[in-house]
Amino acid sequence: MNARLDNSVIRACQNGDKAAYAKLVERHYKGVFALCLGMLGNVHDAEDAAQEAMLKGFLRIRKLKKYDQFDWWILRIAKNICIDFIRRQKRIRASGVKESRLTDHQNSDHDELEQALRQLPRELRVPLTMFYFDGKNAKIIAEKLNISHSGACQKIRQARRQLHEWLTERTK
Amino acid sequence: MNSDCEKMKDQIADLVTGILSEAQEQKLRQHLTEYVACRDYANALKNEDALLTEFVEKTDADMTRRQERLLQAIDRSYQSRKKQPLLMWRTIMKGSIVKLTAAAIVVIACVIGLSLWRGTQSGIALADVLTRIENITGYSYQLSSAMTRQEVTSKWTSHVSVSKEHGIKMTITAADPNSSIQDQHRHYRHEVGDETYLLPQQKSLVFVRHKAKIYDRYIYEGDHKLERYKEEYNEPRIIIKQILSCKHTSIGQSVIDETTVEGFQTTDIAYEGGFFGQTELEGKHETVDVKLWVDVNTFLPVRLEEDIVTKKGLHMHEVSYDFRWNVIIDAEDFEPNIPEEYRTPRGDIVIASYNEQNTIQGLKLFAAAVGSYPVNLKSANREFVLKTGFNFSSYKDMSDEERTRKTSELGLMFVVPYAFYKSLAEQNKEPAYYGEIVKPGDVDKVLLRWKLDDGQYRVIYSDLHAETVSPERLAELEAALPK
Repeated sequence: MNARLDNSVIRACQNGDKAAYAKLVERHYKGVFALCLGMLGNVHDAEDAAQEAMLKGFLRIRKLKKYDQFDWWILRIAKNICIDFIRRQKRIRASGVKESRLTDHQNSDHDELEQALRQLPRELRVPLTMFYFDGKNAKIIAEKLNISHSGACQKIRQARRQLHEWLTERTK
Repeated sequence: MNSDCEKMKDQIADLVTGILSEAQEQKLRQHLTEYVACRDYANALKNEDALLTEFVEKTDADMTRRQERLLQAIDRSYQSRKKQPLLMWRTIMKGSIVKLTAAAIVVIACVIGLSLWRGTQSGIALADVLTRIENITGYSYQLSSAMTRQEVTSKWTSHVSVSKEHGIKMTITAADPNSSIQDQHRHYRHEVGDETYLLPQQKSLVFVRHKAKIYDRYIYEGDHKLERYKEEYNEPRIIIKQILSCKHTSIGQSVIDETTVEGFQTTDIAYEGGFFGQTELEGKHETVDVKLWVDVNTFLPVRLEEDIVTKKGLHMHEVSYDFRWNVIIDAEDFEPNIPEEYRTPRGDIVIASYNEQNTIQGLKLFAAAVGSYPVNLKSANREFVLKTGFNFSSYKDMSDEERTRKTSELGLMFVVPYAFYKSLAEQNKEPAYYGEIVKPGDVDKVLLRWKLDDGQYRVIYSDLHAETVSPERLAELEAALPK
């Protein structure tokens, strides 16, 4: 699907064609999921956030004026949802309220790599997960994150090195 | 490893992730042939790269399922929004005066929501959920109920339809198959097909028992509000208002029936929702555990659970689920289904307004039948039965009109005085009742009094005349009461 087709699909969505939105989901969901995984650090939370983001995108698509910026637009929605989620989790932890069953899912999944990813600072984890989920193209990641190509490469590099340090530390 | 090796680590990381330039790659590969430590480092990163790739592939394998779930959620949201009068709203909002008014209403609603908010830590505000439901004209849900006392449990399932315009209709769809109606707890008996109609427009509450071919109809006079009765059917709007008025917390997000939900819980014993009349009939709450789960996308309830134990030992458990929003409701669905041959054992039961005049009338009827005023307004019915030997078998041969008149008198005697007293107490009007020590023949003795807004007191005397007195006069009158 190219940009021109994207435009016609978005126009159709804005006219209430929900089947057209399914095409947008097919094209953009993975990227949104990857961003959410990077922001939140675990698959289950990323699933929920990605679903919420795509749903919000569907509900707000009439507000999108620049069709060629759908990618950036939906990722921004996803990022804001993730930020809200992180804030909520902080408030819940601070209040001492028992965390949801979803937290139980995180603990039982106990995957060393996922754990290692969670240790990475968010500003490194996000480009790293997006890189691996989105075809290992640093240029595309840079565009999506609105940073320079060299900046994206540097973050991915640092993320890989820190990941290695953490994984090596665990095996010692 | 030489001093270059540390610098090479960055390039090694780039090589493994495939972002190293060609020129640098050649030089690096040469370096790797010479230095084992760097080769080991590169191999370790390659292994981790493979691990990352595997992780992505494993997560990717579920991507189709995730997308399908998303599309289902979009479909549900689309169906839910389809029937909302968005276009009408936009038309209404074109007027600037309407916009200002609407904006004011939103501000006020937010303030009310904030003032009622107590200690939730969630991303969804319950007040928003309430607003969302208030905008829906018709919905339905399943209600599963269980009551246990003295080791006897009654269970039943109902289908509940709620219409903003017409009221509530509840139909029993299943009853405990292992228990016949004689075994079920004496207060709570249900049979499949039983219907209940709460009809605010007609100010009536109708119970129809199709198997027995009988019905009861309560008609509320005056300014009765039937809001409290809606609690009995776990009507979500009423329940949410109850939760908002109690201490409650967020219990975080989870998934119910593939829907991401946010949960809220109250264990506040001040909670009054559900099972109307439970406080009067079954005593105050001993423990309360109410949980509500709300769809994070649509802001609509998905599941409601109530678990309440009263001080008198009754355990109530109700679950509302399978909510269907924006269903189309026909007016005739809310027309009580009462075939001609059905009987009403007690006639239409008219519940008079809870006011001074009807209270006096009720006390008069009681005194005429029993010879004294009720010792305790709350248990006036029991005292009446004990002292008069009354039972409903005498109604058998009466006409419907006579039955209605007699039953209305019972309502005046048993329901109105206590309900009036209770409403005064809820308004902090300091009611006091002296039926235990004041007799119908007494002179100038205070039988019932309460405080008025201007600080004076309203007094109903032993001969049932009423007047307004000053606090000083009331003090004199109460000092003269028998000890």
